[in-house]
Amino acid sequence: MDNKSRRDFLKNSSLGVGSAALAGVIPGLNVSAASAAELIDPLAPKDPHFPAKIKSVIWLHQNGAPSTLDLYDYKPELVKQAGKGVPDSFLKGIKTSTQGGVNELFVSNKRSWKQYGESGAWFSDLLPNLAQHADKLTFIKSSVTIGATHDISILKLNTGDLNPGRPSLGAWTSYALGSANPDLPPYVVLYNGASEPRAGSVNWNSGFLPAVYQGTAFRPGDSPIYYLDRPELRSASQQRSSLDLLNRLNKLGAENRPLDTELKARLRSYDLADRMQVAAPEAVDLSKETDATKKLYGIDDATSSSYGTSLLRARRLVERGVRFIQVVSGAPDGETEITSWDAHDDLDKNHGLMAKMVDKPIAGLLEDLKSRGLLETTLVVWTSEFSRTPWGESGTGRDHNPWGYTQWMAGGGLKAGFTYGGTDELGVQVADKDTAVDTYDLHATVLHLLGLNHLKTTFINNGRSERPTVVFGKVVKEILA
Amino acid sequence: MRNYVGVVRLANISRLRSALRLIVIAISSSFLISITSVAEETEMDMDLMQNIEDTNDSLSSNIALGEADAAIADAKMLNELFIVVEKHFAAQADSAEAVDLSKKSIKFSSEIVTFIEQNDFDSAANAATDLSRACKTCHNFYKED
Repeated sequence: MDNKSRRDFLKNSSLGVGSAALAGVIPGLNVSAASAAELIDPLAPKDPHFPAKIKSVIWLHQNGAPSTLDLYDYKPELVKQAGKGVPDSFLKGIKTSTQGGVNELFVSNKRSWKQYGESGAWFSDLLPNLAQHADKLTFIKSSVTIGATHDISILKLNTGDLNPGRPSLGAWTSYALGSANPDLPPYVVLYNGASEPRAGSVNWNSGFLPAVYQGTAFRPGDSPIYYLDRPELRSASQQRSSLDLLNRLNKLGAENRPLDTELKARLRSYDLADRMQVAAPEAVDLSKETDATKKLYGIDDATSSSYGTSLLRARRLVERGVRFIQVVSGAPDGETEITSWDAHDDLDKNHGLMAKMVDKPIAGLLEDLKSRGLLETTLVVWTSEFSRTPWGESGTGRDHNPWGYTQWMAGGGLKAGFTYGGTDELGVQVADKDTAVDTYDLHATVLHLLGLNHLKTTFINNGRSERPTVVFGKVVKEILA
Repeated sequence: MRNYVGVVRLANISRLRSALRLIVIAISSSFLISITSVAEETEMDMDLMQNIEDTNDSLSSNIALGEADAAIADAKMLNELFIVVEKHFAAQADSAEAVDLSKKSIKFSSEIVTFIEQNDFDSAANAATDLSRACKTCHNFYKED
């Protein structure tokens, strides 16, 4: 091929890309539009498979596995049987190789229960504020997962697999829908507390998807992204010139390495970082929020302040078009003894603090989204890696339970004030196995509400077609409005 | 010149993929023949389960890619393997659930073949998901830690 024909080839190729890119704005040409858009900008907005019910997801990971038997799943029989052994019939079909063994059934003598709203959903005394929103919630009381260590089950909760390497749900969302705001990442991770969430970035990475789809962690504090701020002695125009030069050089490199997604991601990151220097601090700056709003999120209280700040930031990110916001619960500022919901002992002390940290902020988030007309287009998911056993551990705590627990969702496209599934009379495992909802099913349902068919949200990795739900996953149609 | 070489490479990769696909189909066919004799027995080991898992992953991918021949070969292979699994559990005490799930898996794998032959890949994908879930349910009861 001589130089002329090579130029012709490149010219024709780029015209082809241009035509395909044009197809991106024509409804009904979704497939070619997606591939063309990816060539130009991997985060360009893409059409869903069918009309979406929601625009954004707020994924509230309750880190450490709260006992839903102490929050939502009232069991009068457990109260009656407390102190006795677990009948064998309740353990049939599960492997109870949990570290504490199967001890006597345990109930805190401090717990009290009440029904709320027209739905009559049960809440314990630990969640008095959230209970006021009972009729906004869709409970899944037949949640199951694979019980392992926290780190491994958290990985499954976020990526669908027990081994690292698969993309997180937020990454799949970014890949399938692109970004709705070119100045902010489509997938943001928020956390409160002194350190990064347990098991770290593997829970928001892009796995085998291009790196550009991974989540961006926003730190607590005024400067959400490391090294995002421009140094004081450097002017905006100086920075722009440097970035333009860097961009030109990197594009030359990228042309020689068309399959290097890390380089493409970095190219976009520099440009995105430039714009984010303005957009990101503004997005998380709460100075323009009223005192009443801050109070609604519990920011005026030392225990709930840091988590409330995360959730108010989440609402601001939803307003700015961020698709997927993963909020990992940490610990109240200054708290060093209790840093998660992991209550193997002294459950009353642990859950008393953790519930107080999240109760008012989550209630405030729901109320705020509702009053701004955002709840109809947002999905709030209250989730955890597993839950806790009805039998006690260390006398006052509970062990891990992956066989039956509660998660809930609230927002667009769902039957509000509705409960799906249930656990047995003691809360050991799901009562009817046909109603069991695994993490794959939760992922399929979230994607469905985003307008995505999980079976058709695919990516070719090493010649094999991969999807977010691995080889499993069913949409929980019973909870859809 | 690099772009030209790239085009040539792409063409070579395409030919290589076609060749690989033929090899895979040939291996699959020979495995199908050998599995007939395996089906006579009721022995089941981790290799068999690993084969099922790998074939199931391949089936899911081939359905998503619309690779009818390869998907049918995978589904037929799974059908034969689940007959072995059913026989194994039928000979065990207290394994009624596993026998039932094996029967369901045999049914699902047969349905997948029919769906693909009718060019109904959506139904095939749903049936393949049902098949995977049956595997998972069975593992919850019987897989050793």
